Amino acid sequence: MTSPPTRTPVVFDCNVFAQALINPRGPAGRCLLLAQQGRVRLFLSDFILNELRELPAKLPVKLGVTLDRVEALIVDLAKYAEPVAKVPSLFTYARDPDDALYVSLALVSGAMLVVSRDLDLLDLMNDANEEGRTLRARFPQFRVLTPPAFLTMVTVE
Amino acid sequence: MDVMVLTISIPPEAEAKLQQRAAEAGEELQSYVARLVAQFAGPPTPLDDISGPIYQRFLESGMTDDELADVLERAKHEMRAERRGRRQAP
Repeated sequence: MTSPPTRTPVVFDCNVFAQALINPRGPAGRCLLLAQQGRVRLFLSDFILNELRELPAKLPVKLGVTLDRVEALIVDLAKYAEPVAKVPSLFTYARDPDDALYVSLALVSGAMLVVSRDLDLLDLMNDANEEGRTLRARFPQFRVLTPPAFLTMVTVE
Repeated sequence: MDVMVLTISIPPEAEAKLQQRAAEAGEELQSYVARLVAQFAGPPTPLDDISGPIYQRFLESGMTDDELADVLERAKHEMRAERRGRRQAP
């Protein structure tokens, strides 16, 4: 008997959701499609959903991103994403304290992986970044990948 | 049709909201909640359908996906800066 394939656990930056909503055919859209297809385990927190809800007010009007569409996406996420109710602070990041909440969710859920285009988050993988170096010394499996790099990783697996 | 019967506990605030929404939908609470639960067990909605006209507007904008990522990152950091400002305000 063969065991079912392991689904890669992952945390998405709120902007991966936003980018998937705006350009569903792009890399972010393909990342979310993997979650919809059950090929990856997507973890969520209230903080991420609240960031996603706040975004439309800051986006150019020409993109036409409305709160209704964001809410429709959030309602749909309940069908396939796994909410984590309590996310203890396992990491602090002076450069952007809000990014630390994504890292903490990745650590507490066991995902150990954040997908983001945020340069502050991506820089945690840089050895010149002391906070990133300390984090990865404690959690060697921890990674931050861009959506295209994540797609490559999942395809190769 | 075989149906599964579940007994669940929900907080009073959630019950009040669900009662209100069921009444607005003209349904009994039990059937309203059963419909919601069945909906969440259903297949995800295609992203194209959720995006609707937004994707078309993105295509018409002439923006590349990388440029969109930059716009979103700027928006996120502006939103966070405002949030921090609100927290620090007396």
